[in-house]
Amino acid sequence: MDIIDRYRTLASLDFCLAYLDNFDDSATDALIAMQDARLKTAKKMRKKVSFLMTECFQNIIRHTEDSDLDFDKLFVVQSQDNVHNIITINPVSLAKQASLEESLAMLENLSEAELKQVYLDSLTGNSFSSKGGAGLGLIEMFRKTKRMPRFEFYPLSSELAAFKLELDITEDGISNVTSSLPVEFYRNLSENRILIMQKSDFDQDTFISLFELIENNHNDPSLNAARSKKLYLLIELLQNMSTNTAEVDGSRSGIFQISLSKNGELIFETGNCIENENALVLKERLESILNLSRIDLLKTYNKELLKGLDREDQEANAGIGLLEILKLTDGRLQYAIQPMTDSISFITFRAIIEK
Amino acid sequence: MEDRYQVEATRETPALDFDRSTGIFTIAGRSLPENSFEFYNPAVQWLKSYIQGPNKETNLVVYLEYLNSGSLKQLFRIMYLLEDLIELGSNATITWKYEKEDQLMLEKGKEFQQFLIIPIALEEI
Repeated sequence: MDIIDRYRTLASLDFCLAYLDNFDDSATDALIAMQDARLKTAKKMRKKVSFLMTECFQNIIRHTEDSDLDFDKLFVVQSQDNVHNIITINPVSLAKQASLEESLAMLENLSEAELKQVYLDSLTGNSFSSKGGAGLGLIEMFRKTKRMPRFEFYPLSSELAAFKLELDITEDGISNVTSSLPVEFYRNLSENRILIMQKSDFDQDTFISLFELIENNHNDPSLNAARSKKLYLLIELLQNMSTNTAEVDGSRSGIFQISLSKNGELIFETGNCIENENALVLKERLESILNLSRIDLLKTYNKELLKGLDREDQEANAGIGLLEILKLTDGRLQYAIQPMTDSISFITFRAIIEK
Repeated sequence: MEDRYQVEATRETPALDFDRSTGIFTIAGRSLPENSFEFYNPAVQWLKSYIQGPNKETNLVVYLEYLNSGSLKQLFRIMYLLEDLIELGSNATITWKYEKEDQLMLEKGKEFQQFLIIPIALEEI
């Protein structure tokens, strides 16, 4: 599945963030800050979403069975109107699978009063789960969402299974929820070694939140040189996308992802709708700079930097961002434009840097 | 004209503090505005007034964590104006601070050095 197919699959969602990178506590805060800033809903709902995001993310950190598989853990938060889903996938042992299935089956048949009692018992140590906290977490999820979490298991190896858990969060716990995406969609993210993927409107706030999340994941000072290159690439690609995204059906959405190639390169990709007229201008511009030698690229960059300095508007800045991306990637930038309607095309960028 | 031009830092824009009383002008933080012209233009207008009657000494200190390409041109506009001060016979300098190992920020400082006559000191933090 390439980025345009992924965008199409997610088209009906207002927001989708899939995260397969570092699972540590510091990422939780950044993810929550991101979703909290975005949600325009009542405070109570925001609090509920934040609480459940924390619970689900912590569940992955605490209850994952060690495996030698790459990209074996996934955290997704997605929204459509005022319905939010949190999806997690993590490896568990087969014994754990059996105990989880037992706990979940038991939860399913409880009345609200019985659920409360089980919750209180669990708090006082009369845990219904032999693994302690896992039980409490599940009860809390059930109580907060007022509906049974959806779950499934699929085999990973002779000793491990993947546990997929999905929570539907609505204002009242009763409203219908959208049917979730098939598990293959999420497995495909893992198979394609995606570290992070987001489909949403890419306004400045979303860009800064995503930037801070990724910055947080690269806060090892000893890696400053590589870190700043990644972050600069992220800045230029996302702002390029934000500038040229066309409004379609009242939304200016796009998709962004970072994946890790098997030989250790980081692949940054963006995709968004663009007006055909702008696509043509961009194409012409890209064709004139994509195959420049390093020296010609620097000459063009210098010329562009000094151009229009006396102009009193934002237009003077146009053009320098793509050159910056070419400098950062040593020319490893590709693009594709695919017509969608008479007036709109879909443009994708793919930029590669060393990890 | 006010004696001091100040803007507080945000998640995406730097703090600006251009203080006529000390002659020290600072730009510090992240410079990632979506519309860099809109952000920096009031500072440019303030500087245009300042150079009509400047201090004997002016030092611009730039210490940025990140900057987007749009900000580059706006910083150029500011630095060009300071360069005018030298032509008018007053003393103007720039200090470009960068984190140790942030080679890209060092490179940006060098790019400015390459294009400008005004002395730019590169200072590793």
